Amino acid sequence: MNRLFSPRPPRYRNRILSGGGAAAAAVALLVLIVLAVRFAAPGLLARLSSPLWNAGARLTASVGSIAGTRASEASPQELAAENTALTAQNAALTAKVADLTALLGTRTEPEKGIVASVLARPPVAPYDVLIIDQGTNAGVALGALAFGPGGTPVGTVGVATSRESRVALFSTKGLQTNAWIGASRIPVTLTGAGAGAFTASLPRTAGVAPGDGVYVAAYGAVPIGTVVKVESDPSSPSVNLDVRPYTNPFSLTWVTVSR
Amino acid sequence: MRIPLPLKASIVLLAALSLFWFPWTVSVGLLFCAGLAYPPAALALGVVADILYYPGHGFLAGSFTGLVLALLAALVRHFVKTRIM
Repeated sequence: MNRLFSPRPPRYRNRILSGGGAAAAAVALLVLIVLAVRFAAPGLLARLSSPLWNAGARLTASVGSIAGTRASEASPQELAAENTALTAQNAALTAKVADLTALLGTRTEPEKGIVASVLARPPVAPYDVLIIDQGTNAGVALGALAFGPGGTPVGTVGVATSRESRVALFSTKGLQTNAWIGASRIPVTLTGAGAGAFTASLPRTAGVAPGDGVYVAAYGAVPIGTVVKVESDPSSPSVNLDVRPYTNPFSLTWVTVSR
Repeated sequence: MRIPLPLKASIVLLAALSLFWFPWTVSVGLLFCAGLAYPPAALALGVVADILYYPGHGFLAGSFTGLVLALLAALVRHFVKTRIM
């Protein structure tokens, strides 16, 4: 009897939702708002997210500059990055010359692409994906190839909205890409291993050795990496290859997307 | 011991910002902490991660991770409340 007529504490008397219910409602509202912005106004999401991504990039850069204060420490890193880009570009040009001498009439001048700034990259992006600041308004199309410094292909456009796009890297875990290995262009299927790395499997008789170049189809055969390790089991007729790419996806700041 | 509401809100906000600033491994840890504050927050932020970064094909790892972390955090909260942990 007393329980039926016991008054509720004043602070609960007119409350519509409890504390936990209000929190759950707020979280659900947040998700609905983000979903609505994503599908109804995808360019708006990119514009809202870009300042946060840029702030994160500046924060990372400032921490890096504080950690390496001496000019002599920064200089070798810059030279190494420039060397890597030039090596990749040199390998691409060498491969192109070799192909053109064998295949007369091949187009020699690649079409100019769309230069895009990378807003987010691994490891901030949980998938092996680059978020770039150019979308369909600039001419980016689904499936278009994206190139890093030196003209090295890094992936294809998987999602394109009006103002931003997402480039799925070739090294996305489980993603398979047709490629060639070595000067004799042995066909192979690369399997993404995540974080910019690839694996592949070939018959032992293919004769692949560490240092052989790996090429993908893009304005001819364009090198994207080298074989760094060949694992073989005496009981198996095939060998497993580890491929290291020329381009480090963790440090990409801009890409060129083909039209 | 009850966690003050401003502290809970700060943890959830930090977990949300970590999706833009920190490596995804750090974000997973912060999502779990946000889940300890508000279990649905871990699921919501996992969905937000997929909205931001999903490449258009493959498994929705962000949403699945958010769901797992939300359930795990709810379990930990239940054990703590019942003084088992």
